[in-house]
Amino acid sequence: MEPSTEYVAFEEKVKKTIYIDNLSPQVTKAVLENAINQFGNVKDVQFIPTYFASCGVCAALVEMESAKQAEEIICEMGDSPLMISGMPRPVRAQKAQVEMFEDRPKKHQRTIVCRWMDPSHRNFELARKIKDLTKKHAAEVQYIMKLQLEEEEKLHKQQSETLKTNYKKYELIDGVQADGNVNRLKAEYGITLNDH
Amino acid sequence: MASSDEEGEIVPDFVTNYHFVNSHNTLISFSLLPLHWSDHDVENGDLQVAFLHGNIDGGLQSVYKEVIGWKLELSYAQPHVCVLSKGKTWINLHKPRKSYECHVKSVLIVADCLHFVRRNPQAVQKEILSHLMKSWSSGEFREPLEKCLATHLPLIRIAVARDKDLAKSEYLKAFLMEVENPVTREALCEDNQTLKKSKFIVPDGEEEEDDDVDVDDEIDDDSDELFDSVCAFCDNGGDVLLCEGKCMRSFHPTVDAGLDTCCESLGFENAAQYEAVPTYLCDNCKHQKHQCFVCGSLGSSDKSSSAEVFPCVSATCGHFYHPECVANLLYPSEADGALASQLKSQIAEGKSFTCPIHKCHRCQGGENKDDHELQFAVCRRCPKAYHRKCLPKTISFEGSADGTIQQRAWDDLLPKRILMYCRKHPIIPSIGTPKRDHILFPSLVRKRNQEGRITEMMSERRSNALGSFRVVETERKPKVVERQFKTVTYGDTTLEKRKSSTTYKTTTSFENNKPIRTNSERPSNILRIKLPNKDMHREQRLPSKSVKKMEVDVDSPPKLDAEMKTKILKLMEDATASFDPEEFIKEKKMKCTHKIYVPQHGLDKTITMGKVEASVKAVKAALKKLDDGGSVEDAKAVCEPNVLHQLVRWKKKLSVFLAPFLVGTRYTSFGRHFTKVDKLKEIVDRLHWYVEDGDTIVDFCCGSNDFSCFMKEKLDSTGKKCKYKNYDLITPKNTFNFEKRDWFSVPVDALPDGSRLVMGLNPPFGVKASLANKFIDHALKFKPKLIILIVPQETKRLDYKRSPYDLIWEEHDMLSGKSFYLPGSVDKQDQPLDDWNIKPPPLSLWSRADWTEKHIEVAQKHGHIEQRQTVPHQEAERVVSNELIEENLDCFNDLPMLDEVLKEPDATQRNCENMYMTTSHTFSDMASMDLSSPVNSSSNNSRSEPVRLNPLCIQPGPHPSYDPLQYANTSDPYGPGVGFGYPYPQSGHYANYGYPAC
Repeated sequence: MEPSTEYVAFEEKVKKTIYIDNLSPQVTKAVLENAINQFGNVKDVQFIPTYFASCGVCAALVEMESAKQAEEIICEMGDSPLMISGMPRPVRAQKAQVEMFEDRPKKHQRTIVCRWMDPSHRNFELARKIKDLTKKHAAEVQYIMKLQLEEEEKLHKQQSETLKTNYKKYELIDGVQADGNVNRLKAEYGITLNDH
Repeated sequence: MASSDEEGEIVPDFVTNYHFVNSHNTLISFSLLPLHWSDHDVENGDLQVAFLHGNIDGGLQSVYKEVIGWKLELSYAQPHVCVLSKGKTWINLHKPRKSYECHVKSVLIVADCLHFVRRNPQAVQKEILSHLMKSWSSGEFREPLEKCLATHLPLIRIAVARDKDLAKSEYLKAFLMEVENPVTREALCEDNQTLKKSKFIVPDGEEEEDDDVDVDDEIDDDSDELFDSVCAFCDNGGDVLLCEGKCMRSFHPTVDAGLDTCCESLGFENAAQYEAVPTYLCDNCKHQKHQCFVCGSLGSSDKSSSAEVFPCVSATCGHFYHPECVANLLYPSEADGALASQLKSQIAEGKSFTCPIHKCHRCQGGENKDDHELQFAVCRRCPKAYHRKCLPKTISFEGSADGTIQQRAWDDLLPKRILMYCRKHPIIPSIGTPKRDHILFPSLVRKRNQEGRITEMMSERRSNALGSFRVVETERKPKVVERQFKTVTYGDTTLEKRKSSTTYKTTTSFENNKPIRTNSERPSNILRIKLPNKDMHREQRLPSKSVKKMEVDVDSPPKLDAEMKTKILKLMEDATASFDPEEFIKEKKMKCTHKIYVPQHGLDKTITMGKVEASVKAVKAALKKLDDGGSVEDAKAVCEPNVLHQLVRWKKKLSVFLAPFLVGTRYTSFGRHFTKVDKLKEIVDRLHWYVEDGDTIVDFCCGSNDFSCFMKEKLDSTGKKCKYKNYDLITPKNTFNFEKRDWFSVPVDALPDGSRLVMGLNPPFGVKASLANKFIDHALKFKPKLIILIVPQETKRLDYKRSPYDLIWEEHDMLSGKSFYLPGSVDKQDQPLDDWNIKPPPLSLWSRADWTEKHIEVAQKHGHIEQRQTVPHQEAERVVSNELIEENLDCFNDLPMLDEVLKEPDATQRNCENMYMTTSHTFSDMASMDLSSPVNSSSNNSRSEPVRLNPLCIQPGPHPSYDPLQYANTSDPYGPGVGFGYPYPQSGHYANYGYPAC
């Protein structure tokens, strides 16, 4: 069966779209649009919920002018990490997938009809197998998600911890410089510091 | 090795295990002595006399000779290095003393290299390197050959001048050519700098310091000199892991890292394992139980509860003491008993104190690291320190061959200090140190049984007396690991073993219980089956079983069974295993910087919390000491002056690392700065007059790639047909004639002949314009007839290059005001962020000498320069003409367009809101404008001086000399504060930000 024309157009759109995650919650549409605009022409920005990252991380779908531009941006952002809005890690870009679009059109113009199946039906075993398999897949996916989430969270924790300690160090030094202690001692020692 | 033929007095033919000292007993390289090329051909050396120590007769006798010169013999099968004794005899040098090797390694490598090149004049760098690799193991041969050669330039110059065969060498010829070109020379020095910061603690020899190496590098060089970085177990250096805590110690993390000294190490399996720990705390710091450095027993150092041991307040010390122990040490005599007990109670109340390490045990004087004689020798086992001059003779720097005297002091392990063991600690010959059971870690066991003192002692984990000793030579590695495991988990005595094993049992059962309890849904017997390493049968069988189970409870989702979990885990493991982080980082590193730009290390892990805390505390304590009427020397014992320097350096490093969080959060960029579109149009309006039909216009760092487009527009409208070529690392939106390529990788034959080339525009500046210089140098290889540049003033001028270019005009103010923007960034009102430089980078047009006349004509015709002005070729007049140009520059400001722009920068800014068109810097550029130019350009602010720049007059900027981009390359690719490409939003902030003009 041929996919509907609407779906073909949608597929084209998917090709032109990049999925960006590891975004800070502070990122607004304008910020993201500007950030990506330096590599190509952004046509649309759409924030979506993120599934693979821990709390406080956003994701977005960014539609570009052409599929080529989208590919180049993914390549570019893979090569050289891009930081947006002070997020402690670079944003990540990958190709958008069909499933990421909530408003995606149906692939085929057909309707799905549900009905009960009698256990005596000859396809009953088959249907049940399919059902179980689907459930199994779902469970597997859930488990993988859980693991990934754990990993993300671990990384997140680790990063914020490093950041925090580094900031604490900075504050400590800043404090002792700000209250003039360093300067006083410097004067006592009669040395000059290269502190510009 | 053949020995040189000598007659007359009895002198050694050759010495081994040698080292040289000067009259101050400092280790020096013999290459500082006068070089004798032939009998009558003597070069002056930096040093007239040195003293040779070494062994002769196969190590049976030692020798001490005054030497006054050295020579290099290349005609033998091996290169011979000889020194001339005062008695005019030549002594052949064989193997240097191990610890001295670092001082002479480079000259020996150079000797080897010259020797090889002399025999193989056609040899290219690769062959030379592979030859050197054979004689110098890769560990020793860490530095690029060029760096080695560059440090011994005079030697090479003489060698090439005097030796016919060497003069034929292509490689040396090319090398000297490059060196003579000062820019490349600088590049070499930069390599030099980065390498100096190698993580190995062995400091590079002093003689390698170049004249060109500026203050910044020296600062960075000694940045670690305050803290020792030798392993606390075995007192040797190498790859160590620093504890973040108050103890400020370092440890060999893996057995491999400490293999030389049989170090028992922390027992990590590999680097990945310990690098994954973001902040490592040793067990002492983790549990806040530290050893008293006097009595060695553990005590709580937790100030919030009842502390038993207290840290010495000195910034770099890190030792803890019982109040009583240290009070008795500070007031040893009976008569001072009252003082001692007073001090004891004061310390117990939390009063700060400095421990006896900071005063010489003999003369009670303080330490002065900058005075050789007043440097300290500090015992690694007990609080005892001596000045170098006060060091008892029995503490020897060298062991005797017969083993009666053990080496107790080492000169090159600690920065500006001597590492020693005092006489109290018998040296065990097999490991070369005293017993290594000096470290006591509180073990986890301790926490669970609070059963009185004795059992507590037993549950502490003591380090191995012999490290991982060599007796087990046959099967060393596995043994070592086993032994370690033992110590880590159990300890040594049987009593302890019993104790800990019981606890171990409780732990396991405890841990086993936990999942069962939490996972109440799951029957516990299933859990039991669920052990790793399932065979295939079960894996296939069980799913069907679970499906059957499902029948019962149709509506509940299928439970995750063990097989599925293991399968998924296996899958993920495979995926992780197939990923090589090192390879990944390497690849990214290559891609994200210009090849030629050497990225430096990330935020170094040596800035530990413990050190920062101690330093900050020491500053306060030192001040207090002074306020209480103490002497400056006392204060210095608490906080030596270098600590202050160190604090400043740390802050700088941290502030670059933390830049994204300290300064604005709405900034997005690769650290690029693009020139605004209106400015570009102005430039095009000027430049197009000089371009001729058929020329090729090259933008070597095109950014948004607008310059070429405007050029094309303009030239097409004036009927000139030109070609365009644009290079950059990041693909721009507009890919007009664009090639994604590192400019430095563009070969000369990729572009047409120089007389058809117009080249340039806005390269990334780099720190102190280093990157801009490199861009220009590569551009010069194409010999373009015209070069147009937006570069900071401290960039080396093209009229001082080897083949000088002539300045047609230079425009200082064109790019003042908000001439640049930060692509991809918006301010609070979602407007693009502008950027400006405190001192704008000038726009300049340079012409190849043979085209100058023509270009000047064009310039005069269009009023770009005044009629009377000529640009002569002679060096003497050139300076004058430059001044003239500068004086006359103001006439350019009359351009109406410019004025408008300057008056209404905001309007312009708004106008170009939607036009992201301009040229750029590439993204490694963050350090460029933001970090360097405001500082430097303001330092070069005075107009009255002709802008003549050479490396020496560029201010040794106090700004950080590292590119934050480097953090992209640190071990964790997505690490926090990946501070690369993150400039401060506006360089204008700089004035307030702590990088003011000096």
